[in-house]
Amino acid sequence: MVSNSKKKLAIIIGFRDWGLDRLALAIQSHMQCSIADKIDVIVSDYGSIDEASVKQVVEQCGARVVRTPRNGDWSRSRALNQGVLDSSAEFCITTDADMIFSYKCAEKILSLLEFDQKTVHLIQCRDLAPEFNAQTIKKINYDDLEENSYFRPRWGMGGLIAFPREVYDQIRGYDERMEVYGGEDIDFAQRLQRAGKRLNWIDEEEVRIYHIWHPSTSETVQKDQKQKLAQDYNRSIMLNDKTWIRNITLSKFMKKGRPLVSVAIATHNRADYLKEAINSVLVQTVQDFEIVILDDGSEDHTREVVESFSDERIRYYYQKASGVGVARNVLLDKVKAQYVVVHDDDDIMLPDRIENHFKSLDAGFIGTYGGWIDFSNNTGEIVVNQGREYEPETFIFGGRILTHGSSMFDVSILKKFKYREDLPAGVDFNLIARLANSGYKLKHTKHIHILRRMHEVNLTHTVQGPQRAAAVRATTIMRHAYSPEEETVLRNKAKMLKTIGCVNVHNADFFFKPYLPDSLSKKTILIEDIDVSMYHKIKEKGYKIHHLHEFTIVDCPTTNLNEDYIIEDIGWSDYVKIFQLTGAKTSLVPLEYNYSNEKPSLPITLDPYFQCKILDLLVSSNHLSWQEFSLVNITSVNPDRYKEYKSFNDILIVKFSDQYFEINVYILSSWSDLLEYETPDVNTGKSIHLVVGEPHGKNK
Amino acid sequence: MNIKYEIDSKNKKTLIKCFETNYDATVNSNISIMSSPRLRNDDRFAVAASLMLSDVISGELILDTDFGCSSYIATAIQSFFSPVNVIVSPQSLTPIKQPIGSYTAYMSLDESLDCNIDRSDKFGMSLKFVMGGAGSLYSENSAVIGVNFSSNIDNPTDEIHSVLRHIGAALIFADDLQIAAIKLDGNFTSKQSVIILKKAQKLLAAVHLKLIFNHFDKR
Repeated sequence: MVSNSKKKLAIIIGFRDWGLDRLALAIQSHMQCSIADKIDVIVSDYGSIDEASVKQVVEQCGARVVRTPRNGDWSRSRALNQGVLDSSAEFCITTDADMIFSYKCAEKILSLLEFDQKTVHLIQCRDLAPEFNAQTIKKINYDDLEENSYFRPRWGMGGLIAFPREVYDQIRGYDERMEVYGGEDIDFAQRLQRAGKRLNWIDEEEVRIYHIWHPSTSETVQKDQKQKLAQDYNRSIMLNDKTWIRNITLSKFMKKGRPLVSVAIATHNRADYLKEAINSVLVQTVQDFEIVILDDGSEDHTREVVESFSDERIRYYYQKASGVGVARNVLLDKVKAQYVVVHDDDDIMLPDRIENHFKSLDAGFIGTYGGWIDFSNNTGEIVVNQGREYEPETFIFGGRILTHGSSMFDVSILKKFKYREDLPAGVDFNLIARLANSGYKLKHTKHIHILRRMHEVNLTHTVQGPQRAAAVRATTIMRHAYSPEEETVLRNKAKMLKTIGCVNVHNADFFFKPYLPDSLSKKTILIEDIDVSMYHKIKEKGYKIHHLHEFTIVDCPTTNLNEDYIIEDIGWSDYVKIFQLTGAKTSLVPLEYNYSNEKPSLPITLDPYFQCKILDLLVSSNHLSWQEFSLVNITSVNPDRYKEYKSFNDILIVKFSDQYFEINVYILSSWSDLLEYETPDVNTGKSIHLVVGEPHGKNK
Repeated sequence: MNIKYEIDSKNKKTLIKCFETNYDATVNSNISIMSSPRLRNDDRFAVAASLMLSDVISGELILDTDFGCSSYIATAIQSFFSPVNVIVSPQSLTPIKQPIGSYTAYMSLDESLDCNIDRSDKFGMSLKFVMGGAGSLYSENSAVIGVNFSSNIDNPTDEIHSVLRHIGAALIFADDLQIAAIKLDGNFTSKQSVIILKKAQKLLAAVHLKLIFNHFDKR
């Protein structure tokens, strides 16, 4: 018998409390297929009540069970993911518990997948007539099944999808935001396409799947309001979310040796700045990364600084000083992820940078970029650069569109283009100009990504001459591609490129200065949702930790869970230590934030962090559905995807400390509404207006 | 995939626009070639597009050209893509004569401008596509044309599709350059590459072009 670790093809079935007899029939068909010794049949039991019976039936049939404890509603996405993650086969099929596969089905699929890994395969099932159900089918007779079944129309009606495991890991499985079922297969298939795989429908007589008849479940789902809402939400994800890498903050998708993203840092004699740069990576909301550092001949204590982190995700390489182009190309050879976040050794990245890169990575784009903030290394003064629209044809004619150090790229594309090694400077611009010239597209995330240090030895400043020459040379060669008339048109178009509106830049000092180097900014960390034991652990480390706010929503005792704490007067290193100790959501509190009273009484100023926290509670208390909440989650929303949502208006009574207040909640109807809003300063009375956005763009 | 050739004779550029349909893989950029063919042959353009997008097309292949393609060429294209199901449209039953050239185009896929031409072949010519090249240069026995795709490949899976992309580009200029055969430089060792090149051979034969390549079995 071939051990599971050597099986070539995994067949994954999601399951919970649903027709054990049908499941047995389905597994039976798999286990008697022509390549039974090469397949690993996994039933992912997502919390069936009768766990023992499921296990017994599955194992009797020769398959195995992966059990996930019941976690809320049924989620086919989560069930299938659990099964795939448990398998070690090179190729996978995800299917349902009511599908009978033909004898040659798995064999044919495996041979197709082995030959061409750029194609994923689907088979549309044939529906069996009502008299062919789990009770009546005693023995599988394929001729009978063929004669008594009819094709379903394509798309969205179930069946199977077969894919290489590698691409599953790349897109990080089925979207786990999806509850119940409906939409997850199409969403998954579309994301495979965005990952560069085509879909092929197999239509051969010996490769069939038959759907065992049973009473329809969709009617039951339609009657259940909660399940219907979930299906609507799934549908909205499927239709509107054009990204393809999902589940980026879930640790279960982390795979040793193949991180989601590589942060590539080329450095030379900037040990102290590098420390701050690394610290800023370590507190990212996405933790599935590696940091690859290429020390290009440093003579200072760079190596010691890197080694002081003792984090296995950090890899350090040293080479004789060879120039930035060579260093960047060496980094491209060293990184293990599919995407590389380029980070300069003297810059600081904001904690949600990596997350924002992926949340904007839509189909057809080879990377994403964001805005950047220049700060004076002497005074801490900041200048916001939001960046402009990127269009391949106008890039070389426009200025201040993007900075290389705030970008993320598909490594395979960069490897094709490579950084020029013969230029004294300007290699970064040259690379992006060549990408643009070849028609590759980059997308702005609408977020600020980095704080860029401006100081006397800034590379971009010291080599102004050669950099300019390199830029001129690169663009002149590229200009040969255009006639003078075409060039004039493109130059005029480049002048019209819009500045991209980034989140929170309306009050940049408030939001971004806390992340400046320790020498330039005093820090206070906000730690969200930690329990008492964690509180004591932090206290034992010598930190002065105290409560932020205490509040509950009336009539919802379960919302009395606010366990947000703050620690004042800390530095970047403490921030990293606390982040790693707690594993909780942490952030630096905006400047001038009023957190001095543990049990504050009115008047108070409602800052955005507090607003978000209240909204979080509204969700946990079912006052807002999690779909609606995603609209107001400032840090995780791509507003373009939610345009079709209508606004939402509700009034809640909230107990804040010892007093009751009325809160009006407005859900933003467009991102611009949020950008324009101002934090209300409530000085009198008991009515707090929690304005998150203006409904329908009207003034409230 | 919906394919549209935009041939700009004035500025000497060809843009092959790719609009994905239901089952295609996402294409990250259109195909751009820094030269324009003088002689147009829709059958060869159909085959060229199929070769250049051999790893992304599935389902419909809609040719947005004057003629579409001959029905027997459509059959050849569908057979080339098999087992991936592809339906070509529009198809024409009007007979078209395929040109027969005389020259053998020697193609190497490295980024240098050198090419291993067999000097004894008086009908030999060098044909080179250079990524990032800003124009094209033709002489009696050579052509160098800028393109936006690379032959610099990361892994063996991509290698063969990169080769097909170059063959497809060559086909667009085959009438202008009177090419009868394309000879690939280097050896192809993987079983998958050889199978796909043999399928490409059959497809090219349908438009009167010969594909010559060296291969040896690793076993």
